[in-house]
Amino acid sequence: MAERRRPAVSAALSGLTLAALVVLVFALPRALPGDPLAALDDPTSGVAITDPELRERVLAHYGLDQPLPEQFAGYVGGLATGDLGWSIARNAPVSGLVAAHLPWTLLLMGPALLLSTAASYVLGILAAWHRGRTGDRVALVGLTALRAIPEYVLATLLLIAFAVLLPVLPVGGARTPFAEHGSGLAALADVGAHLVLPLATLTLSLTATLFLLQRHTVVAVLGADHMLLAEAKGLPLRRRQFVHAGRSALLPLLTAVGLQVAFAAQGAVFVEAVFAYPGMGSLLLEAVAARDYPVLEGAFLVLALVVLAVNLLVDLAARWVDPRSAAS
Amino acid sequence: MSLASAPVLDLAGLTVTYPGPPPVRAVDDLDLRLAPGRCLGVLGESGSGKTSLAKALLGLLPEARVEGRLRLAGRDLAGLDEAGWQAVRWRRLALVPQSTASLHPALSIGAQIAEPLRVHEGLARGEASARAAAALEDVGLGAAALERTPEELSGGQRRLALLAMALVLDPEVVVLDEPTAGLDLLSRARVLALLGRIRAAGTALLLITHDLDALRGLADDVAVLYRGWLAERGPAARVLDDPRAPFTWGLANAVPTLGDVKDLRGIRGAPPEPGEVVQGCPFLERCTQAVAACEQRRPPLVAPEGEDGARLVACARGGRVPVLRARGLAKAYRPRRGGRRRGEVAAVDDVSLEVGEGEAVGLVGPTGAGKSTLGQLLVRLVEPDAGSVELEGRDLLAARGADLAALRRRAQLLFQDPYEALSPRLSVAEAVREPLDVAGVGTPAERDAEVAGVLAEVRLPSSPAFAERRAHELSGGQLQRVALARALVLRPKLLVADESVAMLDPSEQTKLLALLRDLQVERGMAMVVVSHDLAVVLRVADRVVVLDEGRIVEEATGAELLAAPQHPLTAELLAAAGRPGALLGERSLARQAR
Amino acid sequence: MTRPTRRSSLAGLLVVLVVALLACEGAVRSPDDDATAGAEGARIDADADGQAAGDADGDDVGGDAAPARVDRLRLAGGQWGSPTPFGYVRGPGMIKAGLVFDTLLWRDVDGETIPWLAESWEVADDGLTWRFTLREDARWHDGEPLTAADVVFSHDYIAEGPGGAAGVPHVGRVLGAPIAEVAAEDERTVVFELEEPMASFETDVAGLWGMLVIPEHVWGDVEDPARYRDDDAFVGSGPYRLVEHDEAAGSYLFEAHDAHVLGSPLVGEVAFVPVDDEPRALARGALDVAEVALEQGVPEAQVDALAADFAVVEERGQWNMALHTNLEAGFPFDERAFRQALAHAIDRADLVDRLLLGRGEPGSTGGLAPANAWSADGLPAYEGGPEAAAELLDGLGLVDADGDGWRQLPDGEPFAIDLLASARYDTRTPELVAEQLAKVGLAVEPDVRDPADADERARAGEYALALIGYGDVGADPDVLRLRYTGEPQAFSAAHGFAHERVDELAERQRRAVDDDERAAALDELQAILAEELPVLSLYVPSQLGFFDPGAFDAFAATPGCPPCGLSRNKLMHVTGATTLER
Repeated sequence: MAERRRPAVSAALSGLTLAALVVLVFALPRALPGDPLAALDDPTSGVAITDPELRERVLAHYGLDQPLPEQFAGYVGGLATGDLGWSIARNAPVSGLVAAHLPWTLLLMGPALLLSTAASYVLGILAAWHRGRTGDRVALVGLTALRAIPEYVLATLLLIAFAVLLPVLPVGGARTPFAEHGSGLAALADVGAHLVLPLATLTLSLTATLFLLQRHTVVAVLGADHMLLAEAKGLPLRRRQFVHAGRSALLPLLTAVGLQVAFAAQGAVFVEAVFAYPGMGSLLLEAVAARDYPVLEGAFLVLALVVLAVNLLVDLAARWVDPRSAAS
Repeated sequence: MSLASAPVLDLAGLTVTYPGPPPVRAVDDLDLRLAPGRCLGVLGESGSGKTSLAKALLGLLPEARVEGRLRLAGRDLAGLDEAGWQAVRWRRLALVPQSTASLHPALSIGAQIAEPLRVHEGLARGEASARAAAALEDVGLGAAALERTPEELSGGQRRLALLAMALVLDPEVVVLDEPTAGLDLLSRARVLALLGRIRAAGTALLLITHDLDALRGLADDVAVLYRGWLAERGPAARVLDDPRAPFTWGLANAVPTLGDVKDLRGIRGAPPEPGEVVQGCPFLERCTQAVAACEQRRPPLVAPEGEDGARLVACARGGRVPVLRARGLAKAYRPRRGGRRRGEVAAVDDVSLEVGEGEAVGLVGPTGAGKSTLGQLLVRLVEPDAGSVELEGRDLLAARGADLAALRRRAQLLFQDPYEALSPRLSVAEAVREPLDVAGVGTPAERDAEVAGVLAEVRLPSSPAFAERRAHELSGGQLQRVALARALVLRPKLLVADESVAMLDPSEQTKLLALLRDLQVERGMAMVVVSHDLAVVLRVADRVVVLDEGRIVEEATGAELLAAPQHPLTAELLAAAGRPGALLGERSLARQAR
Repeated sequence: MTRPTRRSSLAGLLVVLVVALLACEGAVRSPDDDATAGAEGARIDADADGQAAGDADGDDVGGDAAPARVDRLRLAGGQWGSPTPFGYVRGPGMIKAGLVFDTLLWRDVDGETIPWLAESWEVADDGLTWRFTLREDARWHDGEPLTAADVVFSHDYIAEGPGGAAGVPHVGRVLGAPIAEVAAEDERTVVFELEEPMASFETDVAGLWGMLVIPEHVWGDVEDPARYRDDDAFVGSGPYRLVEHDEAAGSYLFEAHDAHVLGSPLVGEVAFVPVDDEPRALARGALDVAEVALEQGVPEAQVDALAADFAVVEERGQWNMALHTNLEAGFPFDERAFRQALAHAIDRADLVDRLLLGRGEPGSTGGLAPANAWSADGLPAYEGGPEAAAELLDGLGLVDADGDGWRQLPDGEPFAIDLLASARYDTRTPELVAEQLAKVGLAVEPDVRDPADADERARAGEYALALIGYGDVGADPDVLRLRYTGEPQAFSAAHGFAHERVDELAERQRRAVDDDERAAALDELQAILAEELPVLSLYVPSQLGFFDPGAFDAFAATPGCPPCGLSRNKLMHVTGATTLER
């Protein structure tokens, strides 16, 4: 019975979450002080909408002259038909903007999550195994310190180190603009080179948290009876570390990864800002600066959906590695 | 069979020390040998070093110092490097751990059993899986468990899985840590049968367990560990049925066995703290027969007096000492009337009886069997016509004067009717104190303190108001306790209780019996419980002596008596005690009817 | 077996990533792939044709000997919308749309209006009739001829059609112009009839800031111009065609349209490259020119380092940071003497030295940039310093009665002022201003806010004192009318200032038919503003650029065109020269 009810309950919960999300992304931007039409004003060139009649027309064009409930109805109606609206500041369809920015964020977030999970898994086990020794202490102090550093600071440090002082990697962007690559492989290498620093930043940042958790879990696991039996069975060290200790710690790690997805998205936003990486972060930060309601609504919604989706993937992965999690 | 006799596992002076502070010796100078196809049982309380022993055998104690000889099939394991151990572990020496949490919670049973096959024998996945399935079938779990995770198995099933895992590489030695714990009787029987088969196939078993019955059926030899130190070692039958080390004795009494109705007893006190350094015998503080010599040094392993040396006991006193040793006691009464010699009635006829330290012997028999007379003979209330009585190695009958008085104080009789012992003129306190006054022990203040102490020991109120009461003011149970206190106040080494609970209601009977056992645990005295009621005796006594017409017709432990009474009288007594089916001849019928 | 399906969920993630990557490639806009492919080869012999075309029309390319061809000029990019006539965003977007779409007239770096789509034009004496003659060979990118009908359509599409709803700058200017009718007299002649004279008509309707001419055959049936992004939406008549646009990264690549009326452009490709920091990008060779925003606080060391490695171009600025006083905030803000006291107390030359490293000048009290051709001379500079300020404040009763160093209101209440400022600019400005005002006993607390918030407060007049930066002080002086008269609409408008004579003069200069009349009105207007000081222009930073002269060297500021910067006037890209003589 319980098993059968579960999907219904979780579906209802997901539905509620979505509804709350939709309301939130509508309300939050409007709670910010500022005028969305200010995005059309240009302090640099001194261009501004000075004609009140034009102002009214533009407001009407974006539906911002209507009372909030009607704006909300319009927004939800748009969502229902897959229309995310039109960006005021970028003068472009929000869905198009999201389509242009989201892949880069996925390219950053996905590998960062995978790499940080893998790195934390391995490092956490090794550190726990050699707890108290120099390597463990270095990792512990280093990653604890790393955790205290905000992503954008870390990003800036890496940027200065590897793009300015030692200019081996590009400073920003996701590709060399207008470069003509001889082959698809070269184009991919170019994308890769641009990805290195942002990915390293986000991965390090995520690893710091996950590593500490993994080390903690594994330290607890090391004293478990089954670890003693594994040794008694004469199993090789690596097998005991990465299969026996690791497998026990994998579920807590994956659970933590699930929780980290939101942080990864948030971290990606800041990291993208530093590296001028054209992902959702750049889109969002600019939309916040410009009070671009449609973009804020659409981008936040999509990003939240991505977080939910990745969470779902992590959940599936957790069930795969440990059937017990399906029951609990 | 020269190969079989060469030990596959040979430990000498094995010592495991965990670095402190304070350093803890978990295993202390242990000598053990285990031959192929044999089973060595290891008994011990928790914390006695059993687990450390198992770990040391597998080289799993990197954190501890392991000294002494540790040989597997003649090759020294001490000083092996990690690779060397890797070759020993599981392939030659496997472990069935006590904890069922030793199974990895997230891996399937099949994968975990197949793992050693894949790692050590390099089998492919499918082949290893097939072997794992076979191993599971062997232990009676069935191949269906292959895909399960430990969480989906019961505790007993997990234990079987662990067993299957240990046997999968067919090792020379299997160390089993409580393999029957938590198993239902059917599974337990199956496991024991399996272990028997393995042993028969030539595998050596090191069986660490509390399960005395399992040891009885399986173990060839038994070693008893106390705080990492060998307290007793020898053939299983001797060690288990006739324990000589005081600790073994206590342990045997503390462990429930099937087919026994005897109340369980603990061992007084608690073992020393792990880090504590003990000069003398480690069991000293808990031993009731300790003497000054026990404090001096560790007792060496010696053969108990009169044995061939197959069994060794680490006790400065050579094992449990006999408190009472009566030989060839005889007593006849002449009827007053007539005074003819021919009319003589032999009340006790050539009875020999031994009661050891901490032991309770029940005397049962029909009225007129001579039970009470024997009781009185044992404490020399009545002079025997023939025979001898030794109390703590001294001849009671030959003693005279002060010697006799001192010896008499060591042996007390508790009467059936407390009125006989208690003068109605005396208050409770005076009655208990009287023996002290008579013996002239200590100062009056010390005597008062002693009285208060003993009253508390028999769980009587120690308030002044109670102490001032007279005999007629007390209930039957209280009265009997006062009599008991009076008997105990002189700290006797032998207590003969003659139908002491017969006059009490059942509730008081139970309480008093429990009290007697507790007192025995604390004081370690020998007890002779005289009763016509076999049920009472079986509850209390370690050994039961059945008297008929002044002679001993049967002598056995309670369990033996219940299981197979030899003498018709015993069967009759059992029937009278409420086990009609126990009548000889009827038992088999009864069983068929069921 | 369930394993494979479980694995596939992980594989699914990888697929998503790969697809995402491919999607990025696809996002690149390429309106006409054939044009892209053919461009390289076609460019080589186009130069001579271009020169010839220019000569044939009687135009003379100014400057020295024929400049060398430039394959690609790399400028700083950014997300400025799609370069369609209605899809661009703000000034920088207009510049990009302006590469694809032409106006009738244009402007050179001397501030002179020059012919562009129109080879000549004339205005009637009453200033109400403007007649433009289009170049004979004007054609759309798709080869269709560009006619007077297209110009009429371009206007009507905004004034009467759906184009009016687009929030792009030129639409606002066209709608704001008093145009009665636009008519085509023949294929090449188009006439604008005005309801009243409009002094800024050349700039705001016909010229630089004015109406982008769009092809009727494309837009005739487009109902929602802002969203129209078909390939046709990029068909203009301008010197460049869009080759690539990465919306996410903010990169644009334009390729010369060799059949442009002014001839084949000198710069083969104009690339807008996304960079976070122009000087750094220049230093590592990612840009050909870097423009430095002094108002955002540039370290002196960086400027020096750039000056050592690159050629420098520095021009008088068109942007200013101004101190706005909201007269609606009541006493003492509504007192002229108080505002004058502020002007005396603030040492604007000191701000220029300290904030702009001396690269700039104090603003004019008349409200226009000193470099603006219309800026009046002889206006009061308020250089009386703290003494003059103190005297004025004392006169208002703002005295330090309790001797704590701070002036109180006449009733003895404490007097503390919040100074609204935007985090968009160097926040040392509000700090220095507060510091200088503290010297005359005025307690001023900087209130630095997030740009959107600060802009909105500035627009709504939610301040007593505010530091507001804007770039129209170098533009057509009609901005004075917008700033000081009527209901405040923009963030740069003066709040609470109402002055009949100012209203009168603002209208007069707007309708002035000849420059002298306009100058007279503007001089008086500025004199009043300098006296009343609702807004005090604090400083105007220089336009400062660095470039590698080896690549391209025709960099200069265009008066009245802040978004043109030093490098983005398309005249320079087309001709390689900074001026085009009539």
